[in-house]
Amino acid sequence: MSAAWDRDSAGSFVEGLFARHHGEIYAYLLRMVRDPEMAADMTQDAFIKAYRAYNALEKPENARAWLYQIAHRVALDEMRRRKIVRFLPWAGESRGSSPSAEHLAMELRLSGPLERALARIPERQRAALLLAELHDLTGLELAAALGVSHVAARALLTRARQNLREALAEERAAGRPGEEARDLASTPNGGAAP
Amino acid sequence: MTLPFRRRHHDAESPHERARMLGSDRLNWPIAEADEAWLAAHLEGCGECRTAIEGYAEDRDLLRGLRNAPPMAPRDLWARTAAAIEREARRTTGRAGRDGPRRLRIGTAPLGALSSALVILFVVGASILSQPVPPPQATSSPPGGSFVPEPTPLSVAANGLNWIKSNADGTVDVTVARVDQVCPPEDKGCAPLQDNVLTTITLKDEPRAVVISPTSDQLVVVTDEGSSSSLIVVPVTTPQPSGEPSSEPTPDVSPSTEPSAPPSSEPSTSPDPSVGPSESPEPTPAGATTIATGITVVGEASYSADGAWFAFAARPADDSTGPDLYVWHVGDPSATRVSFDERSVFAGWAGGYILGSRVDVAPAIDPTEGSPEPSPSDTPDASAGVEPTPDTQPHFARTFLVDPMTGIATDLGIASAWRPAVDPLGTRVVYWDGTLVAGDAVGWQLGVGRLVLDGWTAPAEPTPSPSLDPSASPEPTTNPSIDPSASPEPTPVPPGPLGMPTVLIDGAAGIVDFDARFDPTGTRLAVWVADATDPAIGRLHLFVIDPETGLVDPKLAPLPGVPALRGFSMEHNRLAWVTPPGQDGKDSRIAVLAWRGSLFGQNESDPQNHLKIVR
Repeated sequence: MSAAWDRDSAGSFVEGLFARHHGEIYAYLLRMVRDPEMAADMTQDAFIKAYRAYNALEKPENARAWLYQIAHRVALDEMRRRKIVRFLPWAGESRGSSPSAEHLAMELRLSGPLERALARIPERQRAALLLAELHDLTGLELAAALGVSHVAARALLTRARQNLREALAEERAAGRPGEEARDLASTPNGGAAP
Repeated sequence: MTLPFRRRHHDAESPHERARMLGSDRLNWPIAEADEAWLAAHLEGCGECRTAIEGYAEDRDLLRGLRNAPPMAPRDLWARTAAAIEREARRTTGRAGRDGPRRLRIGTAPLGALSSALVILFVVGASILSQPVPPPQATSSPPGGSFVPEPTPLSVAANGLNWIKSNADGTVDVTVARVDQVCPPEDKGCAPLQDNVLTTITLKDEPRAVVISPTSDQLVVVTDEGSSSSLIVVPVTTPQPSGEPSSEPTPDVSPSTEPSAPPSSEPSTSPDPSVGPSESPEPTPAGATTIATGITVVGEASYSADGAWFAFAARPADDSTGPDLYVWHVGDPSATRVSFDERSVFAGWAGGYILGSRVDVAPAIDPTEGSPEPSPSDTPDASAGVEPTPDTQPHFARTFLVDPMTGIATDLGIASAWRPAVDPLGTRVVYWDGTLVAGDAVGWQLGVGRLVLDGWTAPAEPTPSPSLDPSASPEPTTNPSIDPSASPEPTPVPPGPLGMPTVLIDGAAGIVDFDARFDPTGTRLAVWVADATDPAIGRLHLFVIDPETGLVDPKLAPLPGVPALRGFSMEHNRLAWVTPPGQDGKDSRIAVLAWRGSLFGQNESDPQNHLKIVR
């Protein structure tokens, strides 16, 4: 297998992978980091890493879970690198200017109690929930994507559900949930159990 | 240490932990029959676990509701990714050093033809993105369908824009459009801006201008009836997010279907030509309120940044005197006049203050020879029956600040600074650095000078805005003797221009009018300069301000002057304007220049008639 053959195959493979999955990968990363521009950069990074690691993919039928695994690592690495804690403003939000009607609507749509509660739980738990509930990964795929054992993935998902439940209850109970959440976000672990 | 035997995964779990994990598992995947039986038995006797697992199911439904609003990936994502992969391929090829540098091939098409391949993939991606996150079974489906090639757009995080267009039935649509993608200037293939109706208003005539509040919950509509203008506030009850068609019927507020009251027959004897609802001929229906009538609005008008105030300048409709400043406190029944010199115009907002310019009645003196002292004649003489002497002398301007809450004016002194526009950060200012000459009985025109960029010293912020309760509104007119030239409290650094201007546009060729506005970051500055023969049309420029030096970056000239109608919109990451009709033989279009960092792109609406920018 020559290097040239690998490059062409990798390019062709990533092209197809991008066509099928870039939307869901972007959606996953955006829900992880809540910053559209950062999510786009990370999506790009994930596909570049997939291109580089093409030869490491043993079974093409596992490509989707493999891609989520790459994206998940990219997200965790980037969040650690940029020291993202919990709450990031939406990059598209107008700073220092009056919000437009569409921004107000977007803010309402994207920053409800559920989104805020999700943002408060630990990243790995959030990832487990998103991948299981919104991206329909199977148990084994979830474990592969998270880079843990099947049992650990299940345990992570259970803790995520429990912490989400508590965070949601607090969001709903708070009179001004946004500020409440930001207050909590400034504390270690965002008020949620690791 | 080595364990003597392998533990089963739930040996260390409490029954409750095991029950909750199984309850969580079975929401997504089938569990073993034995586990199912064990769980059922446990839940029989454990109300807490039962409640927890029921809660998991509720939250799951909530989470899955997010599928209904899938995020949209940027349209240029594949272009960016493919370019990065190509760089990666070149890098690895160079490292191998055997095949020599060559372009990455993607699929069967060489990367030299990448743009068309990218477009196809992009459209595939867009079709995927328009659906909820696909389930696993959809992932094996290959992309398909036929696609029309498009240029690669630039994704931007810009504020949406609003404009108005007049309909054949006399109604006026206030529309909203997203600006999230633009194309490089050389490309004309971006899909046109798509607008959706925010609200529809019924007017007797096409409005002269419409201003939307910062929170998009109300409009101030300036209508003309002959030489008389009215300002009508129209609530916007159901703002629609742009990009999504309105499914609600648009309200018919019909704010002004009857002529306004005729102007006062003796406006010169009236200290305040503004009138409230009591002088309106009819109560305006559906929540619309007339806050001023019997006037002629002079120049631009705008809300304060917090949306609590609306300021403008106006003169009596019969042109008996020059203009004065007015402010309307949102919720009040009418606007209030806050200057009484009859030669003041609204320049903009500087923090929480209204920034005004007033023509100094004393003839201009070269500043190097000393500034003239304010004279008693600076006080307006409203005595009737005195034939005004034609004034052919050049004049300078005075800049002043008005606290909208108290109506107290602070004079910043005489300077050759007319209609200063201050950036939102309060550090830079643009103004006409030159003289003014009397144009007609009540108007002033630009004389000799230039448009300049200067530093700005911001004043201390005024006291916070009061409650929106009209009953709590202050009444600045209770003291009609507000003296714009009253000396402020001494401050170490007086607010105003720093006096170190750099030229933006030289006025040697003659500038008859201008409009200048900064973006919210203070690093982009749009300047519109009117055409000498038709002041309704001009040329619009965009300057990039270097935040380090505070000066115009000479390397970037993204909009060196394009034809534009009067009135433009400068918002976060974008500038929008109306192209003059007749360009390419077509009607006007809404044009937008948007940016991401130092990358710029443009887009336009389809040609339409009677367009006006709202925001």
